[in-house]
Amino acid sequence: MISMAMTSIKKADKNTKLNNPVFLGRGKMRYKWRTGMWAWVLHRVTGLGITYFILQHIWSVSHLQQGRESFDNLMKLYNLPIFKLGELGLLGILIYHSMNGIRVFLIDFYGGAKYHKQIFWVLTIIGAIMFLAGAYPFVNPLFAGE
Amino acid sequence: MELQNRVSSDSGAINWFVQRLSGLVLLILLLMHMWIMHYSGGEEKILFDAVIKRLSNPYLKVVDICFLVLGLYHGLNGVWMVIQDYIKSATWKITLFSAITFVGLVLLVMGVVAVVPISKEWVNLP
Repeated sequence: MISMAMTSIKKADKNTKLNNPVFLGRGKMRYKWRTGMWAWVLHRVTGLGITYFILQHIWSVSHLQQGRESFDNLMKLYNLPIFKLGELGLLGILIYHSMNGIRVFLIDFYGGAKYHKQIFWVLTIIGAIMFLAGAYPFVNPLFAGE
Repeated sequence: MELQNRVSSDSGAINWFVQRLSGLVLLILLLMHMWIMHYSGGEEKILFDAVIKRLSNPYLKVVDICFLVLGLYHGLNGVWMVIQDYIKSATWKITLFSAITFVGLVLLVMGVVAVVPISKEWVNLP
């Protein structure tokens, strides 16, 4: 009896915690900070970052018309460590947005709402592996002693 | 009150659906792009001659233009969705919507002009 009561108290405790999430921010920016909210906010932020990248990418590619020197100089600039670091960040951002995009798709079209947290963590692990595999060609030359 | 602040009579359902559809196609295009650009071959692929040789292929041009159109649509529609969530003033909404559309059209033209005219002959230029 006691153990049953304890279990139900624990359950109630857990439910209370779930129903009283941490609120942060004010006004329109006041959100319940749980897995789904983090996923949603990160999706927005990474999306805005990728959109900015598209602008810069189109601008860069349009240098092709100005000839070899103009384009190759720009590519030389993009080989600087700071841009390489940016590229690595871009890889991470793209992987996150893609993985969470798959999650959004599963939730919206395949009833994934019930399992959205599990889906989030499974895709996070897959994404992390993809990031490490993708980061290897970036990081490898640093240790190759070139 | 809310209804009066809306820019158009569109509920956003079509935007919502096309955002998901374009996202799915973009994911496939992105995988292709990453494979061609970063995994099959070496670094010299992102220098002028190699880029011109690759992009003079009409099929790749079509793929690139699809990537351009869908990427711009998906990205700018996303920005528009974010704006709609935080900005309620009708004047600001119309102003920002016009700005986004304008930026989108300029980038579309820039992208098409950059990719379509590319020909193999350019490799012989000084």
